[in-house]
Amino acid sequence: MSLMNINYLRHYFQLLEVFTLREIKSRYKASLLGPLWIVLYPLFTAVILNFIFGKFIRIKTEGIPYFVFVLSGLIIWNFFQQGVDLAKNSLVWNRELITKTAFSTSVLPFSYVLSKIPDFLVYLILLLVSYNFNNYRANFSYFSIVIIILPLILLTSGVALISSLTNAVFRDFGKIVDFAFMIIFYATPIIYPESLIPAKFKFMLYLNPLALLIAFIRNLLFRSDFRLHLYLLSFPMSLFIFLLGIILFKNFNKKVADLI
Amino acid sequence: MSQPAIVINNITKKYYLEKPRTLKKWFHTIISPFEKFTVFKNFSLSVNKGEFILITGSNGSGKTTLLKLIAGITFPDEGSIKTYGRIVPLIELGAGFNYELTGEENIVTNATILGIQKSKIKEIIPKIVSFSGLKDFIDVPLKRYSTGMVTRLAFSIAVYSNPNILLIDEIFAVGDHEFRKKSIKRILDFKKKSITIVLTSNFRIAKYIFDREIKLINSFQTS
Repeated sequence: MSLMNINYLRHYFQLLEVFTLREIKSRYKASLLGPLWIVLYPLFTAVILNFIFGKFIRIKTEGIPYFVFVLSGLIIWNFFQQGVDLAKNSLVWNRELITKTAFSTSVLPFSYVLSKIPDFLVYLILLLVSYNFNNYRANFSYFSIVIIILPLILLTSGVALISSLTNAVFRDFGKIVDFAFMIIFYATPIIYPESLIPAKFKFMLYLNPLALLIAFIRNLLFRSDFRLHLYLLSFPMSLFIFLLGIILFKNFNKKVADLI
Repeated sequence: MSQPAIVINNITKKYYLEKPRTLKKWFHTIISPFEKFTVFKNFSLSVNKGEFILITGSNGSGKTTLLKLIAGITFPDEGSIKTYGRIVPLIELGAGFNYELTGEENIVTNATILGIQKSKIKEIIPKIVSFSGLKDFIDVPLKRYSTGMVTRLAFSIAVYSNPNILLIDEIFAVGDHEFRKKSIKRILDFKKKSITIVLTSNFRIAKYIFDREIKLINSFQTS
């Protein structure tokens, strides 16, 4: 039995690797600029937000240059948003594969989320480069903020599992996810500092792993304040959503091919 | 010789049918959006190792469903199915190919789905390429392939995936004459190696090839 489990796990991870690479390779295949989009996308997003919220609306960021400020929020938001946005359709897009071959379908939403890791790393480099340009001093130890990827993957995969499965049965859920994105984007201090949130709504930050992670890296980058508890607090909620996704998949796994 | 390969025990399989989602019927739909359709009721079958089974029956009689049940793509509502060894289902050749990726990249994905280990895949790639006769196209994206070429690639992967049980769903209607001859020869080789084969077909197949024919009969039932 245990030998069977080891074989199963090995096969599962091989599937995960192959599907993740397949997604990364095929994403930029028919495009001219190719992987350059990984750099251009966050750059354009930050430039646009910098103009609107930094230059026109002039959100107060306690003296932090808005461009770096917003980039430090986007690194977390975009991984979550893009990962879920891709993964919510992972079962629908691969219907052929699900109804005609036998494999663990949960690999699909996972692999779409993992395929966003290169983007995350590019974001990190971009963030640290523009951080240095703005008269902050980053050294290599700053790369340690890469640890935020752990709860981020848990949270994103959890939401990806839930939304891909529900979206496969009723497409309504895909639309609901789009609305949820809009709400979460504005409810999370990404384009504004958390100090703007009225005191009676502050508790919401603690329920939101994205907000906790953003607070963690902003404190580290702009105040040289290593608040480990913010990082650790993002785990329980992320883990809860992740397990919820796993349980949901375990229960409905066998029905996916019939319902999709 | 009579080792079991597939044992299907008293299964019942129902499919979901979707009710029409018009506004008029919306209320009814939201309460129970699915209707069920019975494909198999108390169906049993056991296949021995090395047997070649031919499954016939009209459209909708459940030929493909039977293969999908054996392969573990879909699952029975009642009853159990036991299988012994690696199953390679050829329900539709080229299912799951990514057309932006090259032939070789697709070999890796497809072979992984069939459960072949990484080191083994590296080993069989040259064999697959030469059997398929696609040497000059293997680094070209699949979207530039003809339908026949895609079929050849998919079948070649299955051939070298080292199956114990091979499930084939009406795939002999594709590929050119020469490739079809090659495929049938290959399937007969499989039979000699006592690999279990379940083939569905509506076409006449020479009697000497298969051991047993199973005819499925329509029994439409909705509940």
